[in-house]
Amino acid sequence: MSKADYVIVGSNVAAVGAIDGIRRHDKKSSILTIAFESLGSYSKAMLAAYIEGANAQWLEYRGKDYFKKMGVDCLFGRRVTGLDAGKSILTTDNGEEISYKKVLLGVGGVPFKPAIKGAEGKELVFTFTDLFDAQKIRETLPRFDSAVVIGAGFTGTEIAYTLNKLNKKVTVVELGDRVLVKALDPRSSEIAQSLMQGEGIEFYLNDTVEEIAGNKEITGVSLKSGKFIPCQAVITAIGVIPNGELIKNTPIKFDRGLDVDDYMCTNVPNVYGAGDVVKATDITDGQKRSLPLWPLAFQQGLVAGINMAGVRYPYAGGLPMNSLKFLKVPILSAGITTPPDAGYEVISVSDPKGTFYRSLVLKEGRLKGFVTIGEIDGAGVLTGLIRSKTDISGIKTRLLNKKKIGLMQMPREWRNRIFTRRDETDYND
Amino acid sequence: MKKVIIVEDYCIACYNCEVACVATHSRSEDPVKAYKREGLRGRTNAVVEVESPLAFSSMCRHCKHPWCMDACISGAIQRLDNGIVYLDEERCVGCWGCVVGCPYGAAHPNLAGKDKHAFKCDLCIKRLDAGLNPACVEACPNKALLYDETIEREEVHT
Amino acid sequence: MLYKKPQIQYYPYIVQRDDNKCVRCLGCVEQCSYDATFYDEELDVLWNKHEACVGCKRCEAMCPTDALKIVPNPSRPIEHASWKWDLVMDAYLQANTGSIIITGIGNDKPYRIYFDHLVIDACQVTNPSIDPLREPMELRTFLGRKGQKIEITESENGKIALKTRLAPQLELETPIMFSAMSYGSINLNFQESMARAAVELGTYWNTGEGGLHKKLYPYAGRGIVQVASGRFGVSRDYLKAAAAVEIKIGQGAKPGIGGHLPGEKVNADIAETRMIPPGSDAISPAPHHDIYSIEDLKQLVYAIKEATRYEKPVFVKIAAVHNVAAIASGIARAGADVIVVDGFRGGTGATPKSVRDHVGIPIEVAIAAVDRRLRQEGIRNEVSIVATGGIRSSADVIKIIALGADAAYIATVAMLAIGCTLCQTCNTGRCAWGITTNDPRLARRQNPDIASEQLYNLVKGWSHEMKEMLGAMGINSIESLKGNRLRLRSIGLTEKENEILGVLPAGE
Repeated sequence: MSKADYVIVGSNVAAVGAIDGIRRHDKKSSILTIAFESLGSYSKAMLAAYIEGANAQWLEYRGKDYFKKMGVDCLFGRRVTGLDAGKSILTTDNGEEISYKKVLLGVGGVPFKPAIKGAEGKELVFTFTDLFDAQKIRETLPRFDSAVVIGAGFTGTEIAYTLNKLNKKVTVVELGDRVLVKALDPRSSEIAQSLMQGEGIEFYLNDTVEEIAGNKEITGVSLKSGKFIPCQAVITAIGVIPNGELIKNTPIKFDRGLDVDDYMCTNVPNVYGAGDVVKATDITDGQKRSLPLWPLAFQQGLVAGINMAGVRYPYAGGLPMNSLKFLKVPILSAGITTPPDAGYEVISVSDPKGTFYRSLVLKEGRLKGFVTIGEIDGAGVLTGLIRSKTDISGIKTRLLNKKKIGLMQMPREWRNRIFTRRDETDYND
Repeated sequence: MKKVIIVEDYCIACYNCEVACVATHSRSEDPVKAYKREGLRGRTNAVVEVESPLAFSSMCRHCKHPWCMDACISGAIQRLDNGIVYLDEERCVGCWGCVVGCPYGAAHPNLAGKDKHAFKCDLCIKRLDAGLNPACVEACPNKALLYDETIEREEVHT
Repeated sequence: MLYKKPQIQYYPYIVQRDDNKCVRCLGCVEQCSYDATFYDEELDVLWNKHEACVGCKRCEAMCPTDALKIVPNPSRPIEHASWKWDLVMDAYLQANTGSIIITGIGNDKPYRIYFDHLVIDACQVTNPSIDPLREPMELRTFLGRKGQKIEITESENGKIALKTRLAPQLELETPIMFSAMSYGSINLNFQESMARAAVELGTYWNTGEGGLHKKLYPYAGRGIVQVASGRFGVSRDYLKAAAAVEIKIGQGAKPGIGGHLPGEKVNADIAETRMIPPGSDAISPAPHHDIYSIEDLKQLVYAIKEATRYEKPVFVKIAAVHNVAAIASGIARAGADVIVVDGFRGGTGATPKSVRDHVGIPIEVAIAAVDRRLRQEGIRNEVSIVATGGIRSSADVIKIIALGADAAYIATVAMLAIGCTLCQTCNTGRCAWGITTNDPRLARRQNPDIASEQLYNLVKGWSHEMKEMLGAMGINSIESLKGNRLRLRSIGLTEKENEILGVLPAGE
């Protein structure tokens, strides 16, 4: 049986964050990373580029020798199949046992695959969440000319756009009444959709795929509305759900996501979680939910690592931020973009061509979310305003100007602290 | 760690810092060529904002815990050993995560360029290696930008 | 010419832009405070309204790629020996406005400058020079009333003590002080810079007639406060904080007339410091309305001495006019400790051009006359004399001391040290160099950290040059130069001029 002081299950961005966090405070103890993907740490958010032809090495997140530089042992191509929380032992798929002092479960999420009639036995039915998926899609590109993408969220729209760019005829089917419902508000969904339609992508909203037709080869899909769309490939992009596989048969609490406290620790001491697998506090409303977003995964990993190394530091929650870069006009958003109830104020501005749109969602004078299309320079200032819960009643109309958002409208004394940095300020500024 | 300190009261909106920044980060290192031949107009990391009588030039704060680095999906943004938060433009894929992440608006999208990527202040790392001050500090005629020690506190953020 | 009077076309300056070098940074648009530079975003072109350019050269100085030159309008004015172009333009201006032409800075007419006709002696063979880097060279100067004699006492164990009670003295490490420029005509940044430089140099600065701003109280220990005809800012704290008090009767740039700071320039801060309501015109009347005779002046001098417990020297500042010697004699007898004489080349923030260029007399002859008269009357020791009004270099300081002054006040050259280009539009309050303006957008262009260093450098450099000149003359103390006309010779002056100055022509 081998052992390590810290074991990290998973090697993606949460793992990298954790390694950074541990090494800030503990340069000596041993760290072991176990992941079934042999590439190591790679950027899932860049998979679209991989499909377009980039090589796998280019996807590496921190470079080839990151793990070596950080003094981390790697066990790649190996899947962790069992976790004995009582004895602090992990078991891998080849029977090997590994004992740990502290473990981080960065196992990520798995794509939500609804059971669709006719999906069994057909080769060109894909999900699009990890490198394996991307590899399969890329290898089979020459075998299909048209595809249907189920789901118009981030993943769905991105893979639709990518395939369309590669000259495939793409149709997107979405259950809801608009695209990108998590990230955008109704008007910006409309703009995003029309930008994609302008590229040749077709949309069916308020609809779903009931059956995938064909035998081994797909001939098309039937929609609930009755429409039949001929195609040769289907990609499900409905979302990811936290991967609870490893947690089964353990006393670790998992309820549609790994439950962790403010220090990223599960109910079992020495077992931590970070990334797509956990339920994290959303700072816009204080609720805990699965927020599978890149920057949040990194931050959670970092905080987990710091706590694992013995320094008690709380995770203050995550702010969902989104960036849609692949469209002709970039779209950035963060926080609550569509108010859930009438307690919010929404102000917005746009130009008729739809190349500029900005909307701010406020509650009690504080920014809760925004969408900005076209003019994106300085959007981070708005994100900062959400985090800091500053009262922006006096400056909200200025923030709708069609130009780069700068720091001139911020309070003078805030600027003074940032500019003179004699005393580096807290993130809550 | 020494950083660029901005003294807002003495900025006179002369834009010399912008020109110096563009020139320093160009191939030719000559301001006229940088603007006119290399097409780098607007590619300044130090950005002047004016609302008379107020004015100041602001740039990346090289945070100890950079929001931009958390958001970077390609690993293009790294915090170097000397503390500089460095964006490798060649590694950048233009996802704009840093643009939406930085609360100071210090990461800028290069939307007009052919290669869509972000850019931000690198504390003139090449000049520092040669023992020189950052270009904006050197160019400022009114000591509104200083290169001096700052105090950093140990913390993480979200 | 569209919508303008035709004579506007004869503007003096052209903004010449080398478009190959212009990178459209738009710095010049922001820097120009005279609305002479504009950017057309649609055409991506920078253009100038040449008739608005006052030749301050701020844009030229700040352009990062050296793309701008402010040059004289190549359309040359008609050359006429009697009708010099400035007279012609003044006539046009007056015809269009019907009002007094107001301007700033000092006399701009080509009167003879006596400094440029005086040369300084040096030692050769018969008298050894002194090397200031190897031997002590004293520039230290004391301003104040000196008695007729000094009595000392000697105790049994040989200790010497001073028996005579000395009048209060100011101790200067160098005989150069910063002259009066009021808060209102200039801004706080410039005043602070002079104050800081004065402290570093071991000399003094003058608040001018605008009062002493509370921010500058820490520097008041080296400050000379002015009590002018408007009595602005004169309060108990004002007199208490200062090192000396200067009663301003007149100034060289505008002898005989008062001063006027327009109401729109009197912001809250200036109003508070001057102790007047914001927005009201700050008028300094021509005479002090409580000084109508020399006896009245004596009353004020002693009132101030009483109020300051006889602990501070009282200065009286007058403009150099025809009877300056007699006036100075009267002032000395009125109890003043120091007389400041301001020659007609002195500068100002706002004055009628006619008065600036035609009223008053040169400082060189004024000092020579005052010094000689006071010596003749046997009362030269009763006062120190400070000369001002166009002191342009260290050589001018040496010469004016040789002609009889104890020290010099500088102002115009202090402005040059921090960027002034003598465009003579101080009165507009739009000074692009941030000197003679309180517009917050412009005033910030003077960073006291930078300006105080420049002022310090100027006076330090001059002091060192003076030491060299003194050493060359074989003198090791500035005391030995005072009124020492024999160390000067004149070139190209008339016999009468030589007589008035008290110098011999070179060669004799």
